[in-house]
Amino acid sequence: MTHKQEQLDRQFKAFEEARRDRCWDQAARWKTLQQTITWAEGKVRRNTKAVRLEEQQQKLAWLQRPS
Amino acid sequence: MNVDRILDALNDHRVAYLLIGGMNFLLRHKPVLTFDVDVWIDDTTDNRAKCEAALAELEAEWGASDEDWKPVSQRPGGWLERQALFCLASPHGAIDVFRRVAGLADWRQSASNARREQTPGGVNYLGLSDEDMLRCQQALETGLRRQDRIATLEAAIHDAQTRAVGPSVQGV
Repeated sequence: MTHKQEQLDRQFKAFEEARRDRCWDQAARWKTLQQTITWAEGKVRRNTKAVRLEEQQQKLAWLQRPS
Repeated sequence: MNVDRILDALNDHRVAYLLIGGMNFLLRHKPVLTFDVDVWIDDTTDNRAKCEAALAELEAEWGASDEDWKPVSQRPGGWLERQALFCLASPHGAIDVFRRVAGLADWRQSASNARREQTPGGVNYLGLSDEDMLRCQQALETGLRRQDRIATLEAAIHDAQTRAVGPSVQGV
């Protein structure tokens, strides 16, 4: 594939995505997004006691660091 | 994750909060993978009490340690005074509650610049402005900054400034 063709493909993809986002029912899109996050969260298990405590320690330490 | 449910509870309890972090960016700009709903609350006694009630309604759980972890509904009032931020788990998704935010000095100042928005599910919320989101990113250590978000925010701020300047330029 030539560089020119790659550029055209990228532009076309951006155009297609923009059109989809304009036409997609926003409430349905929002629902899908939240479902996607739920699915991804299920893979990495971030909404758990152990992970939440670890994150909390990291964030508190960062907030309390000398500036 | 049910973001609408979380924001609904905060709204129902009249919590003064600003949506910050990845979810605010996602709703305002473009999808990014984020696993929690970050809110910065106005740090007053009354508002913390409202927030505690909202989190109890959401069946959120929190603890300062493993041993201390339990549903927030079982905690005596005032627990949100204990530390600067709280990472909670809830059946509706992970929630981070911030009493202060690095890079931003004053909640009320940020609230006055915040944007009144609505999720696509129809829930109202107040979201941190693009300028303040950028300040948050800039407050992070260099390695932790999200360059793609910074680029998007800078472009959005530039576009807004251009639009604001546009009519006066045309009028000259």
